[in-house]
Amino acid sequence: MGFLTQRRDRQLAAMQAAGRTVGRSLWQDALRRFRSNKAAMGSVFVLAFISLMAIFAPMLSPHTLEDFYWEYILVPPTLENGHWFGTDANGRDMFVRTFYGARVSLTIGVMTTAVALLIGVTWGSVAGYFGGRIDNIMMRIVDVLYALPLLFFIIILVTVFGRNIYLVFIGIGAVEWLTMSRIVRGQTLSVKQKEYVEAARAIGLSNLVIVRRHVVPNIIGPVIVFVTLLIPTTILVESYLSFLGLGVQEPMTSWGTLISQGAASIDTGPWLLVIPGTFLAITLFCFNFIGDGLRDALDPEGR
Amino acid sequence: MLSFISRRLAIAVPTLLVVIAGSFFLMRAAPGGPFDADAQLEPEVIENLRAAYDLDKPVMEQFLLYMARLLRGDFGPSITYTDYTVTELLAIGLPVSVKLGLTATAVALLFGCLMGIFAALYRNRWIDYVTMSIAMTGFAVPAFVVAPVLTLVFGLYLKLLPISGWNDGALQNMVLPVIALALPQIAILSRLTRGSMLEVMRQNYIRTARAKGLPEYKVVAGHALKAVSLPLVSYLGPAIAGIMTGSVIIEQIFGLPGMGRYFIQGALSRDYPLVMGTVVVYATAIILLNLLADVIYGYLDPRVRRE
Amino acid sequence: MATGSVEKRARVAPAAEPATVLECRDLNVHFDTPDGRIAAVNGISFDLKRGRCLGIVGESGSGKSQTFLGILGLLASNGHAVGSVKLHGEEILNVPRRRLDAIRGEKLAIVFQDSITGLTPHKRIGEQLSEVLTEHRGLGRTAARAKVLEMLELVRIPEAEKRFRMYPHEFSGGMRQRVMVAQALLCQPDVLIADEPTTALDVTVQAQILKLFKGLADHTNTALVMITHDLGVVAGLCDEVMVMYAGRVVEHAAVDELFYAPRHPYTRGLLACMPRADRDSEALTAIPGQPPDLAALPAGCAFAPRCPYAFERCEAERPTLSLAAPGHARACHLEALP
Repeated sequence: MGFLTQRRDRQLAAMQAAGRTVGRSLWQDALRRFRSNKAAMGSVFVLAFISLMAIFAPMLSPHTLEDFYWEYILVPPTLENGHWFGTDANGRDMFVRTFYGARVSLTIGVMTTAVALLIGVTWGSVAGYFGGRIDNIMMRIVDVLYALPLLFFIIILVTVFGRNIYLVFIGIGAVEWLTMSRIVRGQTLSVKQKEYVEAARAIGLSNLVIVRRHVVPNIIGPVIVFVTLLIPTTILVESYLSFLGLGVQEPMTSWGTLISQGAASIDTGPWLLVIPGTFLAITLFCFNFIGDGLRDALDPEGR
Repeated sequence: MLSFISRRLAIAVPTLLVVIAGSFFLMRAAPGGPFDADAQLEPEVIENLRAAYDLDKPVMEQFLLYMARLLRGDFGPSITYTDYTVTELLAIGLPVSVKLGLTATAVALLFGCLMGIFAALYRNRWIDYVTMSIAMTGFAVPAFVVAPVLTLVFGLYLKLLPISGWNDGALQNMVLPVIALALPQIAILSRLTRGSMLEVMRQNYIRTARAKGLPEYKVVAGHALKAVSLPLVSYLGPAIAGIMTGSVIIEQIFGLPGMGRYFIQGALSRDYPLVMGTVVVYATAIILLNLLADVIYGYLDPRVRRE
Repeated sequence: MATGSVEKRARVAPAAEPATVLECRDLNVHFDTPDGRIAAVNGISFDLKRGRCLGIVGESGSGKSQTFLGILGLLASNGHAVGSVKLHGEEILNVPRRRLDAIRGEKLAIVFQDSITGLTPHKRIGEQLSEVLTEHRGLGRTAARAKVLEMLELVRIPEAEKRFRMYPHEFSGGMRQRVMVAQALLCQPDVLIADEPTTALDVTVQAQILKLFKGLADHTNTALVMITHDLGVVAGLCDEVMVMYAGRVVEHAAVDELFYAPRHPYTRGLLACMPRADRDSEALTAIPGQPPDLAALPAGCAFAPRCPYAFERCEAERPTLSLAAPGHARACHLEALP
């Protein structure tokens, strides 16, 4: 679609130069496209449902995380005795544990992504906006960090300093910001070179105004897309650590912890692995569909 | 090309130093030590032990001593495996991890690339949908869920394959760990290949190649594939890191005597020399393989070499 | 070219009409987009004669490139071409890929505008050119190489031996464009389509490349299609000109006719935009308004919103292409321009 693409690019540049009124309709356009994406919209509802369950299920259930039912040990899922997802080897209710685990896993996913977002956007936009030597040094640092086995660092960090959930936040966040910073830098650099930013500079707008009006609206799309893809990654890293016994500790639990316990009793109680594993998979699926949907909606020419 | 490689090497060496120093001081900075768990030991025994492992000296001196030994290829004695030096333990673990990792990498590259290319060529047809669903599943179902399920199905129910053990790397012992390890990378690689392929096939030079009257397979093989492989080569570094971290968990699940097991056990029991040894080997491998990826990239893209 | 059948073409008084090489009838090109179908080219017809040069002039988005991409089967995947295109009397539009591959590069060759992205960046120039010959002529490596070197010298690329082993990014823009021309000429095609071959180049290099085309047009039997937005390019080179606007031909005439007696307001507008030595530079004017949006064309004449002479009929009814004088067609409701 060579000629149409070119045409739309030029229109876009013209629109953006014209001001923010057209910008809003671009977002409306994106929203419309996103709404018509069935996989993405379905994922939004499923995620909303899982989140609501994560908040309310542990509150409303008659069981708690630490109720031991000695008469119900390793009972498979059933509707009869009130343990819908069965019980584990200690006779604890898996329904409550699964959604309590969801609460912890989702929280960690969102919080660590926030940490990564903060570091990554700051680093990337500073490097991209100032360019030159500053950019060179900052991105070299990212290159060096990229080459490191950072997950091993987290493992050392966690084993040495104790298995603290906040350490997990910071550790994962501090590792996962690298890609974010590269994306933001790339976007900032390319936006900076667009005609409308040069025009804005030519008419004497200050750096801050240019950043707020032209750079931020342009990098926000890719950043949103990346965030929706980063949340599942951080959930996965947390599960990985918890699986190794290095993340969330008893009596708290997360999907990774549950999966780890399930894997240990895979022959006697496969549901202990399958149920939290399925919820983890569904959640990762949903975030990915939403991420893909957002990318298609925000960048219709892309894929 | 030679100056290109030497420039990359000039970054690689300090990077490795940063890793070694970082992990060394990180571990020493924490309260407690490797002998905390042994409550029955007399204080003077612990003192002797600490002296034996140089732990009574100032941290900086310990570091210099360690570096001096490392340069001679000596990783020091293990604290938990009292009869072994770390070098001996690594000699047991490294071949296992290397064999597992390389096989998984090869499997992932083969399947990932093929699936991605076909998905792109048959975009929005059933091949595309099937491969992308597999890719999605591979991404959403992590290795530590796949691995136990695989053992349950193929080991416990069907009794086709052994559920654990290494057995000197026999084929039937390798199958399940390799699948579990390769699956997430297949997922990422196939999506990456598909995206890259779609991007490249939109380029003007593909249109030129078609305008020359080349049949489509020659257009793809001769003019697209090299460019398609560029993002894959850049992903090779992260992919290798991913397979290494994945293999830590896979070795744990399948009870394989690889590096990952020593790393986790070392970390849990504060076996400083063992952890350092594994970290040094992992970091060297990752840095060297990244270097290799850079060189391949430079070879494929003539523009990079000259900069 | 290098063969013995070189004949100097008589430009002034053709003894007999040369044979028709390419015959295009009622060609339409449309694209299916998420926002609906966009008609990029509507009802184009023309004949291309042996050794002649046809100029296609229009702004970007007028459909001039898409016409020929459609003929060559090179449209984007959501594009479709409908109509009839005959090469030596044989239908070539929408034929199977295998048949198309035998024609493209061999009988119909094209030079694209953008030589930076138009050549494969990671392949040596020599390989890219040689494969045309190995594909169509079945030549071996050495034979192809000799022929490529000959062609590179013909398009005046110095040190062809050395350049043969270089990559596209090691060439200057003008040199790359010469390579593109050489690539298109390797099989001595019956039709050479040049899609804005000089747009991306400096003015001096433009002149050199145009000279190259002129040499070709004068010394070979290859029919040339020159797609451009620049009437100046057409003036020195072409025999016939088609002016396109919003996917339609608005005027079609011999080059002298068109320049001295334009019969469509758009053509006149284009001519007025052209800087000329014999005119005051103050007389330079631009056509007011914007090129039309193909997704939202008016019901009547697409040019009406920008036309100084538009009247009611222009907005209601689309003018069709009709002869205003012998060999001079235009699509306008005006009998004659005021």
